[in-house]
Amino acid sequence: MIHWLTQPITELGRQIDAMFYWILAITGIVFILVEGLLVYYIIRYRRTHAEQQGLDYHGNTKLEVLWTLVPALILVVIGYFCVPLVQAAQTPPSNAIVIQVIGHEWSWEFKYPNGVDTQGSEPLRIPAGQNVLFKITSGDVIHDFWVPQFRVKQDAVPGRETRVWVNVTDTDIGTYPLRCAEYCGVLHSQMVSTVQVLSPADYQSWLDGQAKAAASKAQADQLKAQQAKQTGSAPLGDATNGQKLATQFGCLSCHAIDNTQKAGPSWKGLAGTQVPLSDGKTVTADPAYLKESIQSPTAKVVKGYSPIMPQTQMSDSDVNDLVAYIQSLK
Amino acid sequence: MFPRFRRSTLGQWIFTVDHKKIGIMYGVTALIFFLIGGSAALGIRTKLLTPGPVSQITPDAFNQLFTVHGTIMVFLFVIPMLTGFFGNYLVPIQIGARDMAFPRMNALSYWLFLLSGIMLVASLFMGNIPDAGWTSYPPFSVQSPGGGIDAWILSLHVNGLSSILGAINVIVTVFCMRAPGMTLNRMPLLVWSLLATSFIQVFGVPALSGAVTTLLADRHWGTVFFNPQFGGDPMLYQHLFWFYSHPAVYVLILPAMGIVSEIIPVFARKPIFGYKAIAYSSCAIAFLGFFVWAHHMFVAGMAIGSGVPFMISTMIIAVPSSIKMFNWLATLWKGSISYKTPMLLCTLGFMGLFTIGGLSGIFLAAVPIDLGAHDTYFVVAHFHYVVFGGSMMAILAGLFYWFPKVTGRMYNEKLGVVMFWFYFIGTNLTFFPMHFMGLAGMPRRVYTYDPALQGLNELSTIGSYIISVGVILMVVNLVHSAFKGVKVGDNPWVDAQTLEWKTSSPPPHHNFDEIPVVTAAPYEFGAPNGPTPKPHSVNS
Ligand code: HEC
Ligand code: HEM
Ligand SMILES: [Cu+2]
Ligand SMILES: [Cu+2]
Repeated sequence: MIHWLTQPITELGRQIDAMFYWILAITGIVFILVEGLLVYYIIRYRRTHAEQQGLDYHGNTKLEVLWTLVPALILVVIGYFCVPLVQAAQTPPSNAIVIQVIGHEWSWEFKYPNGVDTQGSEPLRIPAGQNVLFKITSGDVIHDFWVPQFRVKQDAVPGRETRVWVNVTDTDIGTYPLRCAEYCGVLHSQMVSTVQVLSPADYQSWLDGQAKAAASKAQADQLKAQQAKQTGSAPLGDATNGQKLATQFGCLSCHAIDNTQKAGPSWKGLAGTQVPLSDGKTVTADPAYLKESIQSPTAKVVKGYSPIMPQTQMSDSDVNDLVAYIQSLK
Repeated sequence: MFPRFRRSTLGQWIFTVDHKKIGIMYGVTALIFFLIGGSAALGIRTKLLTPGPVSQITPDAFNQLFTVHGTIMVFLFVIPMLTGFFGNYLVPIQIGARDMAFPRMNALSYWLFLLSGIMLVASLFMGNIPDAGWTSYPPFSVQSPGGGIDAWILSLHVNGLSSILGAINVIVTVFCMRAPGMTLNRMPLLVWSLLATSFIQVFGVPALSGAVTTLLADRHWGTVFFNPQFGGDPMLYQHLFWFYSHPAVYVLILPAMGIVSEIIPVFARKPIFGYKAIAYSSCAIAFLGFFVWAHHMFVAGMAIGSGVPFMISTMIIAVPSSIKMFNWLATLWKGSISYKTPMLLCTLGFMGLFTIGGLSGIFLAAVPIDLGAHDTYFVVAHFHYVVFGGSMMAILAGLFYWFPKVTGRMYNEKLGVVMFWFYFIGTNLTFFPMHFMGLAGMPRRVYTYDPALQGLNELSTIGSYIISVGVILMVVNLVHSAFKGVKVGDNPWVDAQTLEWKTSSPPPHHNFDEIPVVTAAPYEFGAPNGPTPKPHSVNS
């Protein structure tokens, strides 16, 4: 049941682990020395007679100097050997594939070099054996991009770009957890995703497939919008896609679809009803209201709930799909 | 005003400017906050028994719990207990003074502290509990709705003012009010440590107050100090916050080390080894403590390489702490050690556990390791070994050691020893597994976690229940003995040599009938031949 360090999957990670074990060895020796002496002394020198005195001895300057300089030296040596690792972590190779990482409350967005942009619970995909540079930022509050197996993490800070670079060993193709390590609100602990380390070929074909799908979706959206303009009706969403999005964006962790109590109101039978608001008014849950609730959650707050719903960045057609999904929940 | 009321028992406490009464009020209030903060910790640990969500504790409530827990423990328990109770009660009496330099300001410090506590706790009843962690980083803390964070900010303002006033009082008292013959190098080591601590408070608290004031301005008055959209920078807050809050962790530990330095020589019947090394290392820590703050920000968005100077300064500041540890060990060597509750808490408790916290700190100081370990449960393990294994053990030791002086009655020794073992075992069981959780990938401040880590979390939660039993035993012992304990004379520890033991228990209003003249250092114990019993004692 003892869980030790997770397996590192980069060369830098393995070097950092070597450093970890060195420090463990040094501190381990100090630990045994100090705790050993402590236990030995308190047993050996316990008082056995009521009048027994200790030794009248006030100190020893040579000893003081010794136990000041030796720890100082050991610590500075540790520091010295850490510097090259810091250098390596800080300096990304020049020929790296650049992936933008954007933290949102509470999901990760990834932008790949050819414009592919994934959101929600879509995993991060990277090729093995190649230099990958993550440029990290945030769309709202501070998050932290952390894959334990990379060993290096960086905060995602709004208005700032931080960087992590990796080169995952070829033999470590697989799936690893991606977590947010900086507290960011209600669903901080559920801001988890995964990293899929693919072979370069698999990575490329996934990327190409995504680019194609994105292009055709954009075309379809345009068509729909045109139709809507012509007929004058509201654009119709796709409820099945809405259902997928609701899971991806984490809506369902706060909204039930079966009237159970969660952090937000249940969606079952919501559409068309009268919704009481916290300012005393009521509003009809028509598509316009639902849309507004999703796009600017704090504009109208439902009575009895706190305004904790996060603003999620998504396209207009995604919003319509979600609305259609909510309307489908009779 | 109200002459009648002033003379009543309650009035005598409320209007008191006596440093001893103020100290006791600090101590009792801080212990009450410890019980509140501890209950919040039990709430956190109880939720974490299982990896998934539970309906009784929502994610929202969980975040409020750890925020309230951290804030209370740091600002309303450990700091007021150490500087407020031990500082107030003992500094004047240990240097042979009749009171603090500014008795009324001293009373004001206490009432401000109480007010700050009430302001924080009041948020519980206004339905807006702060939820941004004890660090309250923007932009999250700027966006968090409701009055919770505002209550938190105002509470810290008032609390900071109280700390600064208290610190100025200690500094002036130590420099101006010492009894004849009490040279600086004859001061008890606790006084040295509280003096160093007071300088930290005076120079550090303004940074914290500045940080939270700007936070308040960003929240309500449309300023953009921390808003990147308009050129502000969230990291500015972190720099300001840690510029105070790293030195503040030395406020949590230096007086604790002072307490340990008082107790060990008495129960080992040996002079403290290396008096000057221990005294001056406190000053070194207080000074160096202002140059390490950014070790909390290695992954916060600075260039990774800018961490290196802070790594080195952090490594260096570990040295004065280890010097103290070696000196205490050398004090035990060839001592004649008796294991009363305070001594158990200082040796096995403080020395044994603080060592673990100090050593895990070296991992976190090393930038390459911290890139992985930052913001994981490894950090939670580290600082609880320091604050619980260190500060808390020393506070308990001090409470029991000075209990007969303060109340004039002895505590129950057997119950004290049993309590020690509950604390000791509970602490290790609660906090040691957290190292492994962190290394296995569990971030801190999480409501849900990887089910594979449930076993470790169960251990930790069981440990926290064992600590609670210790806490109950502590309260029972203190309260019961305060009224029913055996009465004691001036110096129940027989050997203790600092000045507070040269007056009655409890001391008279003006501490000493006659101001003592000091002729020797405070730890003149021991026989020239060491721990062999004196011959006549064998025969008699
Ligand atoms: C952190 C929990 C949380 C998450 C995640 C969340 N919501 Fe909400 N949501 C709430 C709360 C609380 C309310 C009620 C308060 C309010 O109106 O702001 C709400 C209200 C709503 C409403 C209005 C409901 C009504 O009864 O009038 C809609 C529509 C909605 N959310 C859609 C979504 C969608 C779509 C998502 C996913 C993109 C989502 N929510 C994610 C908490 C959440
Ligand atoms: C009674 C025993 C205690 C237990 C069981 C306990 C437990 C915990 C736990 C589990 C956390 C982690 C919360 C999280 O990251 O999810 C925590 C955080 C913390 N604890 Fe304790 N703790 C105890 C005593 C103390 C004491 C004496 C202090 C004194 C300073 C303290 C200071 C803190 C601080 C500052 C935090 C960080 C809060 C934050 O993340 O904002 N704790 N505690
Ligand atoms: Cu987070
Ligand atoms: Cu620090």
